Amino acid sequence: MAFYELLILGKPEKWQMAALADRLTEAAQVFDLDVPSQLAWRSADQASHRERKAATAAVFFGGDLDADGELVAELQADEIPVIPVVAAGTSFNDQVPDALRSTNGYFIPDGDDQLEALAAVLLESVGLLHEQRRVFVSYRRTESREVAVQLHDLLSARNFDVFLDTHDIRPGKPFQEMLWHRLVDCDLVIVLDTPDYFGSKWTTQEFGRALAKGIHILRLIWPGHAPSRHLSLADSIPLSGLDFTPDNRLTAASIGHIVQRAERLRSRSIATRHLEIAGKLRLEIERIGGRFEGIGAHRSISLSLPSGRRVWAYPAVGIPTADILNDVQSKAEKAVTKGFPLLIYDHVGIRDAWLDHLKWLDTHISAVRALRVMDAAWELVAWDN
Amino acid sequence: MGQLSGSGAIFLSAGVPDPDAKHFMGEGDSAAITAAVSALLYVALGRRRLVWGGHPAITPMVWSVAEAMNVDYSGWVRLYQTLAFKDDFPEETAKFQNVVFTEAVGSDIPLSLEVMRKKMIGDTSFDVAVFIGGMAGIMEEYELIRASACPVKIIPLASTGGAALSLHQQVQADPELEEELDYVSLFHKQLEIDPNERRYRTPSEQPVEIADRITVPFSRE
Repeated sequence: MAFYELLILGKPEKWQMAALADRLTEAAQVFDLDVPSQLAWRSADQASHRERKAATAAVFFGGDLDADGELVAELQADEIPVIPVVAAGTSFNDQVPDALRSTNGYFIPDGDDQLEALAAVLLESVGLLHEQRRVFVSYRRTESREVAVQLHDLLSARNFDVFLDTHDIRPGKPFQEMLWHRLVDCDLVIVLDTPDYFGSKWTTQEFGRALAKGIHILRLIWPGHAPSRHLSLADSIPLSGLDFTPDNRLTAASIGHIVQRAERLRSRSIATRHLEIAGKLRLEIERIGGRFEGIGAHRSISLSLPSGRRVWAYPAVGIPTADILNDVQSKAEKAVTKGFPLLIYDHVGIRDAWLDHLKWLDTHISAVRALRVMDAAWELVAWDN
Repeated sequence: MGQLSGSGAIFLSAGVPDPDAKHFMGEGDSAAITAAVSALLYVALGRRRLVWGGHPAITPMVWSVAEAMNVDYSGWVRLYQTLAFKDDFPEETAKFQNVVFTEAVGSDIPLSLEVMRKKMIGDTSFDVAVFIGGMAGIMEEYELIRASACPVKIIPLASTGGAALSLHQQVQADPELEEELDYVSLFHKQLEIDPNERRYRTPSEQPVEIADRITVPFSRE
C-alpha cells in the first residue's frame, strides 16, 4: 500500500515520462521512500491499482482531448488534484479536455527537458517538498529525552523538519501561541506517552483542539505504562522492554518501524485534511448555485460563482498567516488562467485573537481575500453581487 | 425506512481499535476515524442533538468545535459515563451540566458499561446511530439500538475500519459508507441534513419544522 500516489495521465511523450520518473526517483531517495511500496507513480492504465486513501495527485499531459475522460471525472469527484500540463506557446484550450479547462495548470517552459519544476508541482500536491515535511515531537524531558533525540536525528535524515517540544508547560497554563501555530502547521504529532506525560505536558483540552484541527497523533506507549484514554484517538504503538537498548534508546528495528508508521500516518493526514476543507468548500459553493470545477496546481480550487465569475480558492490547512496570503497572491499571479485568489481556511481550533488579526489583514490586503470555509457561501454570494 | 424526522437525536459510537484489547475486531484507520468524527460534528452540531458514551478523547474535541461554531455545547450534547471510570474523566467534565453518570457494578467494568449503555440507549429517542471504527462495544450498542422501540437508521462507516466495517457487512449497509471518503458530504446525505439548514445556539431556539430552519444565501435577483 503506497503512502503517496502520483498519477500520470493524458498523452505524455516518452521522454516526458522518463524525465518525470527520474525526478520522482530522486525525490524518493531524498526522503528515503521505497518505490513503489511507499511512493508510487502510475500511468492511466495502472491507476485502478492506486491506494484510494493515500495522499494522491495527478498530472494530465495535454494533446489528446479524449484521453482518460472517465478517470479524470472519477479523480475530480474524489477531490484529487488533476493538474493539466501543456508546452509553453501552445494553446491551453486546444490541448486540454473540457473537464480540466477551468483547472489551474502548468506550462512546460521551452527547452526544459528535465521537468524539475513540474515534478516539484506534483510533489507539492502530496506534501513531498522538504519545507512541507514538518513533524512535531512532544515528550517529557525527564522521561524520554534519549528517544526524542533519536527520533529527531532519524526523521531529519529522511528530510523531515522536526520540532522537538521541550517546553514543559504546567497544566492549566495557556498553550503558548507560537508553539500552537507550529503544531498546527505539522501534519503529524508524535507523542512519547510516558507515565508522567499528562502530569506536566498538554492538557486534554489542548489535545481536543489539535484533533478538531485535523492533526493526527502517533503515540508511542512506554512499557508498563497504562496509556491514557485521553489519547485513544491516536494511532498507537505499544513499546516493550525488548524495544529498548541498555542506554534508553530504541533498537534499530523498533525505530525503523516507528518511522515507517509515522510516514504512513502523515500521508493519511495530508489526504484527510485536504479532503475535509475541499469537501466543506464544495458544499458552500453548491449552496449558492456556483460550481466546484476542480483542483489543480498548488491545490488551488477553481470555483465558478453564479454570475459566471471565476475565483481561485487556495486552502490553508494550518494557521493562515500574512506569509501564506503573500504566497497565494504570487501563485495566483503566475497562474495560467487569471482569477481572483481567495485563501480558504477552517477557523475551528484557531484562537480568537488570531482570527481578529486575520480579519484585520483581510481588510488591509486587497489582492487576496481570506475566507472562513464555514461562511464561504454567504461571503461569496454577497461578493458576486 | 422513511424520512428522518429532524427532531430525533444522533447516537454516536466511535473509537480507535486497540489490537491488544480482547474486544478487538479488526484494524481501524485512526486518521479516518478522527476525520469522520470531526466531519460529523461539523454537519450536526447546532442542528441535531448528539449523545454518546463520553469517550474521553472525543469530548474535548467537541468542546473545541462547538466553541468555534458558537453553539451551546451543554444544550446540544449529552454524555453518559459510568462511575467505573471516574478517575479518568477529563477534569472539565464537571463544568458542564450535560453528563449522566451511571452506577458502577462493583469493580466489574463490562457490567458497569452494560448498565451505562442500557440507560444511554433507553433514555433517548434516536433518529440515527453512527458507528465509527471501534471494537466489540459497537456491536453491543448496535444490538441495544436494534432492540429499542423506534426505527433507527444505522450508519456504520465502513471506511474507518474496526467494528464499524464488520457491522457494515452484517447489516449490508449502503456501499457509499465504504467508498465515499468526503465525510462532510457523506454525512449531509446520510443524516439528511440540508446544507442550508441553520445552526442554532441552543435546541430551544430551533423551530420544530425543518422547512422553518432553512436559510438560503440570497442569490442574484
